Amino acid sequence: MKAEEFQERRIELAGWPVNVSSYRMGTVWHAKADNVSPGAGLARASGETREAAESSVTKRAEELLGRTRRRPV
Amino acid sequence: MSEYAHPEALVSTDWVATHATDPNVRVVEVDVDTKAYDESHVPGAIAWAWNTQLCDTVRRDILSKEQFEQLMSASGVTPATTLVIYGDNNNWFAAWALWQAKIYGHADVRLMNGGRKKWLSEGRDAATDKPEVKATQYQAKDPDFSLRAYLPQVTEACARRSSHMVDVRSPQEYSGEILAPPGLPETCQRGGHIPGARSIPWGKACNDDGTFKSADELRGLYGGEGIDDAKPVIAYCRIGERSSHTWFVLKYLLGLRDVTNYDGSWTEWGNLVGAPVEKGAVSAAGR
Repeated sequence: MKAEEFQERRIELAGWPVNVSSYRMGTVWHAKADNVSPGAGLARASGETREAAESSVTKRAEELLGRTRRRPV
Repeated sequence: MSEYAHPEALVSTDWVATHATDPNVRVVEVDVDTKAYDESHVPGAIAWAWNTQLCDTVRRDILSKEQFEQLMSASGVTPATTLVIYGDNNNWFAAWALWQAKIYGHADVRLMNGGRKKWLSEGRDAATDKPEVKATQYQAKDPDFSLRAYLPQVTEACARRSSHMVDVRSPQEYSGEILAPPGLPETCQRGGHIPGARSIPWGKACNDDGTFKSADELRGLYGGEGIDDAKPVIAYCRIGERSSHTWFVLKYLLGLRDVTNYDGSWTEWGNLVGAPVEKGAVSAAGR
């Protein structure tokens, strides 16, 4: 089997830049969301379509990012 | 264009595609997200979990010599094996694993340039099954802790400004605006950075496809911040994996002589009672 149709794009969630990547293994789509800086993984999900997999990870990533507290410096 | 100081410390995805199942080669995936391997991996690769197999799970520490030997033995590795490590997040924890393998003297350990992302983006063969491994009786060398910085060393270096300190976290973590990467749990009591540290986020060493930037670009990046062989270099982040990545860059791609990874990092320093902390975007005393 091959990893196919890999795509990566940058979006903003809860005020933070996020990389969303996805690819297909056979009939299953896999997606993940990372915060851009530093690049840590936030969510991973699989689905029957790219949209379904990406929707799951962006929803979860937005929840997590929304909890991030900014402090005055 | 100049070469990396130790080009043998890297292999390309093409090289792995050709050699992954060679009998003297063991390919290992080490991810931040330990579920990624089950989703897909380089055919023939095994996986190590950073949070259970690459650390002491009782006290906070890297593997002991005995634990490292057990891991290598169970992985079918001998001292003559070419270990090729790769992973997600442009090889964060792959670099952490390589750092430990170097501490225990494994002779031939390399990173797959570009990591998991590059492999997937190239549409290469990917597996979901786990290879069978024939166990060995691995004997490690005594640890070389000259590759590791401990708290007393960092405290002294901070007080005397006797080392280049490189903070590889995000600019917001460095300034103290956030206490952990966005979306992740806060794991320290105070935000900011070690006084005198330069902010050079780890990702600046990478191209968009996850590969390392050229030697000239890396030299410009770190040299531009005053990081050179005039003083020892200590890299740190939050828990030591991002700084392993920068440690690898400085030691093996640029060839700096004295580079250590402070794996205690900000989860140690930012929780210490009485430790000096600097806040804000730019270190005034860093040079």
